[in-house]
Amino acid sequence: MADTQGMEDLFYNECLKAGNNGYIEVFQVRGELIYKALKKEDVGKAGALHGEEQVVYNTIRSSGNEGIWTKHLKAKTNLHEAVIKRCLRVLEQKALVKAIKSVKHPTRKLYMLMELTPSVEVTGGPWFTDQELDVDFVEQLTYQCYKFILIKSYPRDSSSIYTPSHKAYPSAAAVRKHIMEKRISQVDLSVDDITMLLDVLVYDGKVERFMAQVDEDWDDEDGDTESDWVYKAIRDKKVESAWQDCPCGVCPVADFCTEDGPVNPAGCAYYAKWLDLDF
Amino acid sequence: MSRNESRLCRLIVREHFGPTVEKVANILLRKGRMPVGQIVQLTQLKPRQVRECLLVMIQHNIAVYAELQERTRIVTYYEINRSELLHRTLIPRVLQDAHDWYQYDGGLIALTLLAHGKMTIEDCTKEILANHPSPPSSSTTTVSSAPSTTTSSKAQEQRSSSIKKVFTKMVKEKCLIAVRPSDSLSETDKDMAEEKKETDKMAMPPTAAELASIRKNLDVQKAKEQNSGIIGLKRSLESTETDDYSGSKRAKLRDKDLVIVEVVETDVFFKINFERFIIRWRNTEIAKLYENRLNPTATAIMQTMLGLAEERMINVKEDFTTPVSHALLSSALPTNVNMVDTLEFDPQELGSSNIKPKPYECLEKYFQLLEEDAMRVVRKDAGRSGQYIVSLKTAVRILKLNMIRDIVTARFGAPYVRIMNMLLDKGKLEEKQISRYSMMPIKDVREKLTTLCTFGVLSLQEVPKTNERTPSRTFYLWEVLLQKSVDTIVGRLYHTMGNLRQRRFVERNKRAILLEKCERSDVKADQSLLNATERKELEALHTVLEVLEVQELRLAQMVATLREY
Repeated sequence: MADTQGMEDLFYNECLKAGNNGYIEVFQVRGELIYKALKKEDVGKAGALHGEEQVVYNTIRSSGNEGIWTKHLKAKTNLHEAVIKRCLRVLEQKALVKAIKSVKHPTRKLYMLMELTPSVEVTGGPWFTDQELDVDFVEQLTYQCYKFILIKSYPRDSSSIYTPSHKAYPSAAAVRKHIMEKRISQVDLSVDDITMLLDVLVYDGKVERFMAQVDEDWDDEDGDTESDWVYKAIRDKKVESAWQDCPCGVCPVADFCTEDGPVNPAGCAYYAKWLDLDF
Repeated sequence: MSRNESRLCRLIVREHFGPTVEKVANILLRKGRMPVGQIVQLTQLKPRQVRECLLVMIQHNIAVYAELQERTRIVTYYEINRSELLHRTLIPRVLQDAHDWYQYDGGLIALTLLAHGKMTIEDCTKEILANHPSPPSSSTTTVSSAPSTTTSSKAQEQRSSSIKKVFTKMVKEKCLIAVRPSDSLSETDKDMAEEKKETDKMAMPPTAAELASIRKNLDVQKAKEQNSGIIGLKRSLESTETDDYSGSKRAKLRDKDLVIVEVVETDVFFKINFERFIIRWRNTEIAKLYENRLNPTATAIMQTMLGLAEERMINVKEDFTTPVSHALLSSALPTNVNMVDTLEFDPQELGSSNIKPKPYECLEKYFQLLEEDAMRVVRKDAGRSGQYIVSLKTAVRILKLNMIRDIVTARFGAPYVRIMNMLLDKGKLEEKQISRYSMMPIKDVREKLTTLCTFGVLSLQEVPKTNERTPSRTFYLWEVLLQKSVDTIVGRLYHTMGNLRQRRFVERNKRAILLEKCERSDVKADQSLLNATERKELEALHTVLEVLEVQELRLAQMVATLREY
């Protein structure tokens, strides 16, 4: 009995030493202590750290490329806020961790290891610059995609159309190839990214998506055989609504307008202006 | 039955029938149906006046009545036929199209019938001859020789027969419809009476299932009646010598020199059938859908196809057309439709000879294109090869959606339509999902959603995660409910139409003295009695009225698309 106690004590002391030197990580799971040996290359960096700093560093490392919010950090490490702040400052000075911002929660400050690139979840993918959706970039690209698909969808002669057996409608991969070749985008875009843009075009009612006819010699450039969707553009048409041509169609106070209320068509200033313009 | 709709109805009655009829109509519109006594009490008019007003409205098909047994006496209730009344906003278009489809005389017939509500063929012809004794020399094709100034009896007779011919044609093509005495009874009352007749036969009160089956049978019967041929036409024998109908369709049977010709019965009254006009407008709209998506040739093919199916369309709300065969269509296509050169063939498809296929094969290709189009409007008729049907239901849905999309784009912008389309495609979505799929920042999306919701295009569905229903623990799902948005938009359109109409009255009232002067018989005879300022004023007034009227008609057509199709 005493021997086992002695053994345990010995083990504990050794672990403590190893822990201090940074070879072992100590966790607490449901009140029990758990020990985990570290890889050799990780030991060097964390080895230089001590006590709380090490705990903070390890917690940040375990969050991977997702990053961890300071509040979550606090909850996980059970350290005081001031302590965590101090540790983070030290770690940042040593260029071990970096602060990033998330697209999902722009107000939160996330920490992750210096050498990691933030995940798509955090940055929002190619469409985000400085945690904000780059609307102009997206618009430019969608326009280019539309132009490309439009050229492919109809013959030069505007009154004629392709026969039903026409097969050269572009797929997302083809659109990507065009965008990359023409160097329209500086950022490298995946087929999935392009598909997102094309989806937007579909919702805009500018292109239509349908399954391509099965064809053996169809050669997919990117080896992406999953998407058999091809896209066909719809010619732009002038949108007009007769309603817009009279003041009521754009009237800001139309909801208050009644037959003999304070706002009424008889004394309407918009009408006077509209009807005056015509002669 | 919104306030806007009632107001528009009232203003139509005021313009077409004057202030006294308006008073009666107003009461009926606001309070529902009622007997004469009650109307007298509420309008403070004399009973005689009320009766006359009701008579005018019944003559013009905008009022209906129902007779009910109340204890020992029969009480007659009067009611406004709203749909017929609202159709009156489309009158300018009806007149124009009657003129386009049936030439000058067709326009006159439509005008005369609309001015008199309903008429027999004889009265109508007489009325036209009295008001427009001579046709304009340019636009008539039917009368050839008669010099326009002479009113000799022979010319008169010729003209009268040509008018009758056009009238018969309009009846055959269902642009005019016979009015029976029962048409002045209200539709629901007729249905209820039929139903009562059936249920009276039973010994016990009917169960819900029995009642449903009775109703279904009655509906079928009604549809059969509508389909059973044209009321007011009879067949008669005419010798071929007097018959100068050139088309072989009109002469059904030939027996030596006698032909059976369908003629209009002289004692039947006819009115304008707005529904037939609406059907034709809708068909044109459906055909036009393909102009942008495919090309004008496809539109021409669709138009011909729907034209062929039109004869057998009963009402606007049908789901499908009757099948049209490939062969029939190819013979009915206008000759100027170029099918060969408007198709761009892939080189390998043409083969080495490089010769384009024949028109017949090209039509086949066009059919394939129409059928494969993502709108899925044209379909092969199941079970029969070479027969095609048009899904009117799908087409009409697309027309309505396009109309709403155009309104939203013009009013708010393209990104709003993106959200709308996405919700139509995916059903219910949350704010965050919308932001992600539409690639728009969430704060923009939120603003757009609220705008669209206030406008009436979107609806919001709350789904609480827990029982306490706190907003933070609730999903807010957005969706587009087509019928609901249509109703809201139609309400707004009625509001605008009412405004335009009211403004027209205001403009006219402003220059009432001038207009009165113009109505004087000496001024009518001699325009020089008006001085320069007055003439200028008058011109200005006409311009303003024209702008307002045209605008109202355009809105009425939008309403027709949303509501009637």
